[in-house]
Amino acid sequence: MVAIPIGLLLGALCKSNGILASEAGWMSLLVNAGASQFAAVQLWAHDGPRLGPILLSTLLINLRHALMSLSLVPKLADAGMSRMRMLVALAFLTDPTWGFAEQRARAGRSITWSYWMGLALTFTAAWTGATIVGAWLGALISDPRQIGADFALAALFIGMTARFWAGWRRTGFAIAASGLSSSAVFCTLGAPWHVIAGAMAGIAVAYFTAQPEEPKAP
Amino acid sequence: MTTFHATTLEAITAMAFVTYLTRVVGILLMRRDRFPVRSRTKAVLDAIPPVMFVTIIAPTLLVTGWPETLAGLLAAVASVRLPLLGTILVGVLAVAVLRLGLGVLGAP
Repeated sequence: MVAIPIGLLLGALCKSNGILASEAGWMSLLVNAGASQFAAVQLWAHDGPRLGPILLSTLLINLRHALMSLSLVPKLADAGMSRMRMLVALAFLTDPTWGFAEQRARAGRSITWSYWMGLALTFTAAWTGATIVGAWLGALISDPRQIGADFALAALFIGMTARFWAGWRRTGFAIAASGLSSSAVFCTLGAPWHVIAGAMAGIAVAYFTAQPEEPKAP
Repeated sequence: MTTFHATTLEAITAMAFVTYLTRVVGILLMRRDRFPVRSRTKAVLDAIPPVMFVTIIAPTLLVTGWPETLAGLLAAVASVRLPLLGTILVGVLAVAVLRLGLGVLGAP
């Protein structure tokens, strides 16, 4: 499961930024959103966390959950899940759990409460456990850069992008736009603004390259 | 930006709260009757995940250095055939080797 090496890496990075193993574990359990956790750890100052930048970055990076939940909630409702259970279920909405659930829905099977919670708890346990172990092991690795471990998140996201690839028209132009604007804003305004710039550019391009309403049959 | 220093646990709780809000938005919007999802809206929803992944890693890949850019290309090629862990391994090994190689070549 891919969460384990990434969790180990996160724990090791937490350790090198002065976050204790127990605190890193709580973060993975409660926040449970890898990309925003990596970003937050990078924004951690030596004398403690700076709330403003960390919360802004967390909100921007995790805004995508809103769209994921918008796409997931009707499918949960179709499977007969109550609103109260959805409030619990959605606490475990992450890139991988959402990805698995959407793949299941695409295959025509329903996302039941037991399927979702089994997936969610397995993933959260693996993620939290790996983070704690990573923080312990982090003390042993003197320089994560030397073995390229800091590149694991980038390589992971490349792999995830490939899984969501749906051709140039539906994916390619949008991600090209987001990559270029994200880099440009990163070099000018700096983090975390590149996140919102890349997201806006990608969404705009995806909107305009999409097939217009109901193409007429030839 | 004014720097309000919180304790680590306070920061984690605040992050968790913000993140939870982003996750339950789907329920709040569903309370008004289901709005029809048009094909363009659907296309945008489908494009969001890869767009966000690329947005987050683009500065690392494009404006950090040649080792990162080349390793990113290799990982992208690998991702066509290999599963996620294989892609990660290719990327990590490539960046470690390239940093070593290009670091020696580019040393002042």
